[in-house]
Amino acid sequence: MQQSLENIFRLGIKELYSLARDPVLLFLIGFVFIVAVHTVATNVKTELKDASIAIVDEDDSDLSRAIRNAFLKPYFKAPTRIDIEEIDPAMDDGRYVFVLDIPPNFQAEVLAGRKPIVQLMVDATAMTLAGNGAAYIRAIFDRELAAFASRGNPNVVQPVTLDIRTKFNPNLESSWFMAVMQIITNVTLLSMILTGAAVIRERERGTIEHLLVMPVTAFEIMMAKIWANGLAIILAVTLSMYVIVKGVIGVKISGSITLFLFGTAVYLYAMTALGIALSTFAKTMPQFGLLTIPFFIVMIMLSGGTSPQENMPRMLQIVMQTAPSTHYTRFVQDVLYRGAGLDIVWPHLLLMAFIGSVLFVIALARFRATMSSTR
Amino acid sequence: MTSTPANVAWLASVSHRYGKVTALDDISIDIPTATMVGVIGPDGVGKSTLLGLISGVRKIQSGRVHVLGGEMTQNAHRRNVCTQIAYMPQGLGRNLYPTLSVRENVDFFGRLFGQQERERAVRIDELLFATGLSAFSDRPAGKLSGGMKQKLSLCCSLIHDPDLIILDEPTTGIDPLSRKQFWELIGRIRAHRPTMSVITATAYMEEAEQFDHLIAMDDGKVLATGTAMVLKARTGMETLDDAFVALLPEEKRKGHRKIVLPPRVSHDSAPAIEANGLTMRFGDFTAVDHVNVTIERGEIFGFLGSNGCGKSTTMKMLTGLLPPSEGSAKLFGRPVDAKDIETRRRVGYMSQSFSLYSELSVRQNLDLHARLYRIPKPEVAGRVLEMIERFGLNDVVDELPGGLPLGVRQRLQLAVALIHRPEILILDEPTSGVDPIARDQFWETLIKLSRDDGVTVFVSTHFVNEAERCDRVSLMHAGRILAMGPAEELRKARGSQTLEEAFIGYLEDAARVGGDGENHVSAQTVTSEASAETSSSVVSQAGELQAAGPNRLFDLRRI
Repeated sequence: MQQSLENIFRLGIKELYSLARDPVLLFLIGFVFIVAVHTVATNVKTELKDASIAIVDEDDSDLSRAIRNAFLKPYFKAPTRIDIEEIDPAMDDGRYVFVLDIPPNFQAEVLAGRKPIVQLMVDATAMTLAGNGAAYIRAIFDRELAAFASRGNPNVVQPVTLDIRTKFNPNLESSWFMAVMQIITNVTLLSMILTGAAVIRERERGTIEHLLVMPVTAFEIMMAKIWANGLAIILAVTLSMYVIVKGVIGVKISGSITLFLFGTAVYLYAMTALGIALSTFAKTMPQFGLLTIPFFIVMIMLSGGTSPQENMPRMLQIVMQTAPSTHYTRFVQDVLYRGAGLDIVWPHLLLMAFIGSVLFVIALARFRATMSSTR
Repeated sequence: MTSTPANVAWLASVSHRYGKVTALDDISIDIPTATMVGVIGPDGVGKSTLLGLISGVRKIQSGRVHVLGGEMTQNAHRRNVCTQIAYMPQGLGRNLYPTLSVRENVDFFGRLFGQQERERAVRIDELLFATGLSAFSDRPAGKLSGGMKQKLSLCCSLIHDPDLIILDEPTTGIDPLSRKQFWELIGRIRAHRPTMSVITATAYMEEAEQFDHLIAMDDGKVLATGTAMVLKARTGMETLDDAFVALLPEEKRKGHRKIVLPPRVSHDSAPAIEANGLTMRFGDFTAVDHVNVTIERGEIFGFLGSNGCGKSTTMKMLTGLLPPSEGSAKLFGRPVDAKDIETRRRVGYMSQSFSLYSELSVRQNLDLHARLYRIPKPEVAGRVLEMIERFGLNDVVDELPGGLPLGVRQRLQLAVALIHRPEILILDEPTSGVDPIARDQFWETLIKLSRDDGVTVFVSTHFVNEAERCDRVSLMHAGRILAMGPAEELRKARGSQTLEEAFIGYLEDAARVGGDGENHVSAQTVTSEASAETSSSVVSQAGELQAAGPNRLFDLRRI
């Protein structure tokens, strides 16, 4: 036991040396946790910005002018007025995402209470923008209409007012969401790649053979890879969290970062085991790289970090419960955004640890079988 | 340097560097036309670079390279002559496409040279017939043996009737019979086209003896040129191997002496290594076929055979790296068990390629291995120091092994394999590519270990002269042991001049019995006798097989 722990320690130190002398992997770690987190968080926006809009104003009344002037920066570019014949060619060319057509006698019909129809054309090739923008335009339209309706009679009071309070991310800033989700993505990616690469590197150089003829067990070799590479990632995550996410981007974290790091360690246990298991199916480094891609994409797209799992079909939700990344995403959202404590998130931790152990056993069995049969 | 028709190529003050490493250092040589020129020397002395420059695949950095009547720095000339030059890179079948069939491979090269379909068909038939590959024309190149791959590579190189053919170590790692046949084939082609020039690099000195003109190289410099006779006469040595050593600079030769193998005192204890009917199958391929070996304590036992004959697989089964499909292996009378941690501490293993951590320094590597072998903590530092002293690693303790010369890396590997004072040392082709002096020093260490410390040494090699330094050798081919015994007795038993000749004889016998040389002959009833034999007598399984099988004529196809 004592000897075994010592072996795991020694071999792990060796792993850290290997990593420290691999400039490509070091660059990758630095890049994803500094540059990628920052760029993605600050530049990928789900909120509307600089949307191009054109307005066909066939009415040219007070009301239509008020509406025209209500599209403001930074959400919209200054609206362009175009003629009705220009609509089709302009949309075909993709010059505007939105074209609003206000019919003749619009104001007069509103005043007469005849419910005129206004047409909004949306270019839905950019889907998020189209969806969000349409909602914005509808809101602007409603507001202007209400203001116009109450103008004649300032005493009219709306029967209901909806007062919105947004929790956890009061200004709905996508950078707050993106920064943390980007960290999840990076942990998922690197945990698989680092450990898998560590196994394949040893096999390609033949050093694994040397280890296996020594009084060292496959379990010890695997454990060493897991703790060493896990430690490297945890360090990178900690730095990225404090320096980039909290410092540079300025995300307000409501939960405990210590708890977050603990959960990350549990997640790393599961993911590094998966990385080793995958590496036993690949013969070469490029093959391993290709093999990780589908796993990575499925986990990133379907774990609830990109779009909520509640929107997915029931069956897929059940299947995705077996992925450690699903529980990790929940865990991170609960801890960092909602400030949840251990008393709330323990089921996620337990599930991650359980899935991790299953993966570990599979990886160990595959590792033993394939390492010895290398020719 | 003059461009006379007598020289197919000449080089004047050619230097070549890879980063900080100087591969060629101001070389000037003439290469005579219509002859068989051999470039000899260990790995990493610049042989491949030299051949690459002459063939035009490497860019000339400095100096003049004149080939087939023009400067290779001139693009127009290079483009012109490249259709007259054939180049076969180092490594088995490196210019082949493994998934294409034998015929498709040759056909592809024919198309590259713009030959029409009818012309190609005629040439391909001719070449495949000459090399004995006709019967295998539909087989994917990846499924050929090493010897056959090299013949196919040669076919691909010869499809366009080159005037200059450049071969980079074409026979390294293939068995002596295939090697002999390869050179016979080259000989026939040259007889057919006497104006053709051949430049070849080789690691085998016995082969080089037969070439018309030799260029001996070391450290990016030319040591000497001339025929084998001239080189031997100049140094007053009997063999080319010794002549090469004598040509090396004084400081390198210091402390070098001829290897002598003192007689062995036999021990009464149980044998150190015992294998009974050891068999390994990968799918329907039998890599090792009923191998029986008994090695006594303190014995130096050599395993001689080509690449892929099953040497490494046998060694892996003995170390417990691979569980055998059939049969059993015992170390110190105890069955080999992959889970038996205690036995592992009594065995040292040195694998074929350099397999230490290149990201750890020399000292860190020794330290890590010492600790993993569970040497008591207070002794670790002392043991590491002892190994550093003993293997002359003092100057490089803090360096990373990646940048060290091959010979030093090999000493480090041996030091690592010995750090826990094992009783058995298993070495898988430890000296491939190392220069003769480092090789002899290595052998001196092995002999000392065996004779002074009673360590059992089990070593595999594809150099016949190394096998002669073992107490006993076994000749292995296609997963089977053809013969076993002291080198001298094996040689006498066949009445051959050299062990190499004896090995070729055994291989020819085995081939005569085998149906298809590519598949393995089922061992029939021969193996049982082998295990009963004592260590000193010659066991000839091949002889038995010869009697049992139908007596067919040997032909080129059966390699």
